[in-house]
Amino acid sequence: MVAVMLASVPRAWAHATNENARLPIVGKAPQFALTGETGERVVLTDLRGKVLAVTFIYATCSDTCPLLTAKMVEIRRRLGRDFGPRVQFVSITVDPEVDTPAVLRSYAKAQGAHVEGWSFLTGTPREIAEVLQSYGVYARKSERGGVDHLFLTSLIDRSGMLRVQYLGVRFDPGEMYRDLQKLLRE
Amino acid sequence: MRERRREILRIFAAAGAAAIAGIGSNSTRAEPPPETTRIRLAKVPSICVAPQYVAEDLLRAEGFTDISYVGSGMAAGGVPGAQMMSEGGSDIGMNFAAPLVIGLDRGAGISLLGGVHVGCFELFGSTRVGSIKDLKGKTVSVLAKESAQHVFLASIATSVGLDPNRDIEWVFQPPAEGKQLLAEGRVDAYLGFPPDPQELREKKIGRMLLSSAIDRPWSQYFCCMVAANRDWVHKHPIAAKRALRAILKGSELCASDPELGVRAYLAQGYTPNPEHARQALRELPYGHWRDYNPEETVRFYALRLREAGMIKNPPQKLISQGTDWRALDQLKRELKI
Repeated sequence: MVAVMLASVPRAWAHATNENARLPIVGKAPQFALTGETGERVVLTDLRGKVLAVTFIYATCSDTCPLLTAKMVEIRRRLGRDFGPRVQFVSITVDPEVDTPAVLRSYAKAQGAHVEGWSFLTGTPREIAEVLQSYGVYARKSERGGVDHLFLTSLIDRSGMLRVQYLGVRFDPGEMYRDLQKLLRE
Repeated sequence: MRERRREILRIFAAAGAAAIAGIGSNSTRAEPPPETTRIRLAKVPSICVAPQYVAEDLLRAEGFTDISYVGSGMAAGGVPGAQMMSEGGSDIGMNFAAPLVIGLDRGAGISLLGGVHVGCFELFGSTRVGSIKDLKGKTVSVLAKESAQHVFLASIATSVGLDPNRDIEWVFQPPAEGKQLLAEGRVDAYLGFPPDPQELREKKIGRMLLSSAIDRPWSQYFCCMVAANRDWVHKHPIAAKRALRAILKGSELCASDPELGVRAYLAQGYTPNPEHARQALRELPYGHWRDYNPEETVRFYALRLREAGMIKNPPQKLISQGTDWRALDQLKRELKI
């Protein structure tokens, strides 16, 4: 049934925008000042000059978060030497009560993301709630013990402007890679 | 034309001023805040519209603080729902495309802003009905005249050459009674909205003749769309865009975690069988709002309904007057899947 439905999707309508078109400018990227996995303070404005991909995850998420992180690992690989000096990934926890810097450090290592150029951030519940709200991310503790949340990855250009967001985890990593390249070329 | 140009200039001016000033009063905001913090959504009883219920927290994140659900039952959905919205009874909400088209044909002051998902309806027939054409001269139970169910089946009947006004004997009954009538063989067909189809399948009542999620051409066009009061959109273009974004994100949440959608729906006070509700949310193809064309959807249903004699105006006139894809076009650039 799923296959039938997918086959019936008129793909011509999908992503009908010009591949070479400049990414829109949504507005100024919402500010944050949080704590990294090694305990350092990470402030968005300190990352100016780099293209950023900001995602939201939590370390005990065993189903969907690793899918997202795996896609980001693949994009990191494709970015090669640009990753780190010119492109930075920022993964912000949606479960600050559990995800201490040490927990995030272990998560990063387990996911193959414990590298220069990739920060895993946490903060007080209030700090995190403000960041979630400003980026438009839904997150709520579930009765099942995890955190129900919306997967939203935001690409921010070198001058700190929010340019595009990716909803969910089904996105094409190739498309995100191309968008990051576009921002690097600007 | 001049008014529209002025409105566009006003939006750009607001956006520009906000950017210069560090985005209004809240320097963390990426975009200008909504022009109003109050939003009233049409309270439609179908679980199909779960994205707008699950979007409540997302609406708060978009800057709405006074969120309410207005209307109930038939009054909030179908053609009456379009009328209620036109009269200012609600600001925005999800509804089936076809009754929205009928509303536009009657001059309703609403604007269609985008599509959310395809596939809600399933038509079940008794042993006396083997195909849609077999409905000629048969009894079909639907919720009410001009309900989403009635309008959809009228469109289907027209597409196979039947005259829905002459060839079908309509039985207007609430869902519980309609399902019972089908089970007892007292009607020949029943058009269900989730979670009715899930219940009928489980109880092996009737057999499915058509699913709008699977069967062409119905599966090619949006079922539920987002519409809003036209004046409200005109006065609050940023709020309209933010509300649309919240509902589309709600659709993604329903796709990735159907249980969230079920909980949000039940929190509205509806009492379906929870397992049927879960199954319905798992089956509905949420999260594909970028994949279908909302304008083609309006044109498709306008053509079917005109054939059925249910509307008078040509599709292009309704599209010109009653659709506003500007926010959707922006979101399609800003929000990828």
